[in-house]
Amino acid sequence: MVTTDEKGPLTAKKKSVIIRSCDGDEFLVSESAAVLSTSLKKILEEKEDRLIHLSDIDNKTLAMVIAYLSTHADDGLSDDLKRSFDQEFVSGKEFDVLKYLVLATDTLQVTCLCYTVAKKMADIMKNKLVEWVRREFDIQNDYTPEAEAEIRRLDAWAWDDRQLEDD
Amino acid sequence: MTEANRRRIPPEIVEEILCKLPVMSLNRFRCVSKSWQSLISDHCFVRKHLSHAAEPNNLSQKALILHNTAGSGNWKIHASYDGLLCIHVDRSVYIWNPCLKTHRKICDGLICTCSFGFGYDSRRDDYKLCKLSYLWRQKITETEVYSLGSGSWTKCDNFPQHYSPHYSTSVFINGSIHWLALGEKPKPYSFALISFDLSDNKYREVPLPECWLKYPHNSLDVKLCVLKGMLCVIVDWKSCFVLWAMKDYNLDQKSWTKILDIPLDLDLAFSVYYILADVKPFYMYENGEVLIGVSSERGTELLICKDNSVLFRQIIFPRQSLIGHGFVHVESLISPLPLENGEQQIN
Repeated sequence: MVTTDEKGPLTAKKKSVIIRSCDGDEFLVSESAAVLSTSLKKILEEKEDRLIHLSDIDNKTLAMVIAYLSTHADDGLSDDLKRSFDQEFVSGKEFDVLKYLVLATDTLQVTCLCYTVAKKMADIMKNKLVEWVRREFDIQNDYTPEAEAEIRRLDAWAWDDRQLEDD
Repeated sequence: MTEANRRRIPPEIVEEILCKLPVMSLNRFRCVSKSWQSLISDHCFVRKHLSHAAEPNNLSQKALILHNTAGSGNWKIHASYDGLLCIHVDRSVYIWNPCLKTHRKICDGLICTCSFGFGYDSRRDDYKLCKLSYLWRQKITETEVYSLGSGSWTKCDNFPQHYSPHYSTSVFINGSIHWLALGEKPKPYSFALISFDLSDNKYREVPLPECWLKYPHNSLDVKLCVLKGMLCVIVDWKSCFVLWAMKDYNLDQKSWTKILDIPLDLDLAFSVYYILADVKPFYMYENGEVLIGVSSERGTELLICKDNSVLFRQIIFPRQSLIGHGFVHVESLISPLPLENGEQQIN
């Protein structure tokens, strides 16, 4: 299956690239959008191949990243419009979805998207409990109970917030 | 969910996320794991977090601090830089990070008339406090600099002769602390802008906007401030106030640009209240609008101004005058404590 990006059928003049997700779906992307990713740019410079296979990005995430890249490659959009697109892009997204997105930005090296997603993740995290953070980031607590109690005691005031969330 | 997506978030992305969190959350997240604790205490991370908090469009990590000078005991905030406040309580001076709830006493037993400035020496990566003390008998203003890094005082050149630092607060920008100074003989009642460079400990004179030199000083109320990384001077003519900004910092008079010229409405301008009022710019937003505090006997009022107009105004504290020592404070993880105490070593 080949899905064109949001701008519809590409004109013959504009070069395009096919990107395949790890699920096997293929996306047709204009070269101007693809090169906003530093890794894709490098691949395109190195070989003539117009088919790029990404083994660690799933369909859903790749579609989102491509929508982002296409919007940012559109010269007809003002910076203000792009900024409001960015806000809308991350708004309402679950932490899990953002996690896949941020991993994809790491693979594809899209700095500005990484920044936007990281900002949204920080917004979600800021009122969460330590236990929630350990779960979401898959981190083992390597403190002894005494050492953890000592750290909590030192920064006791940071725990004074009654609004902390665990979900 | 595919197997590929169960990857762990790599450390550089964790850092990217954490540097956007408020200090309060980061203090809590120190106990997530040992590696998070060492990241949050890491010097490079602390600087990165600060540069994010200081971005002009990031308002969530900034606070407007207003200090009620009446009836709050004998204390004063002299300066705020990188999340550290320089405060004077009775006869002692402290550097305080209110977000970390840590402070360091710098000196006590002050008896002379002192003025303080506070800033950052980027060459040595060190925060420094500059103390000016006026010695009545010798008629000179002594300069001493305290380094937070070394914990010691250094005596420097005296404040330029024929000038004395104006009572108003100093500001720090471009590696130097700036004071407005009043001329004495042979240039009585003239204003000058004096800078003190924290890396070479030298005084320099910065030219003021040309047009105001012809006015006698006593008709003006003048203040320095830093807005969006620009050194600014606000002059309050009572019927209007004018704000100049040095767009590119240099020692050229031509680099001053007038950015605000706000006529005040008549009932405010010519009332007896306003004669005693205090005007202070706090912040310039990304779109160029400026947040200004005006305090008078009517209370403390906040204005948002651009070019020649007031776009918004609201009294936030009726009948309380809180502007003079107000600051926009940026959250930071920078500890005022000496390094060995500032880093918590817990295993």
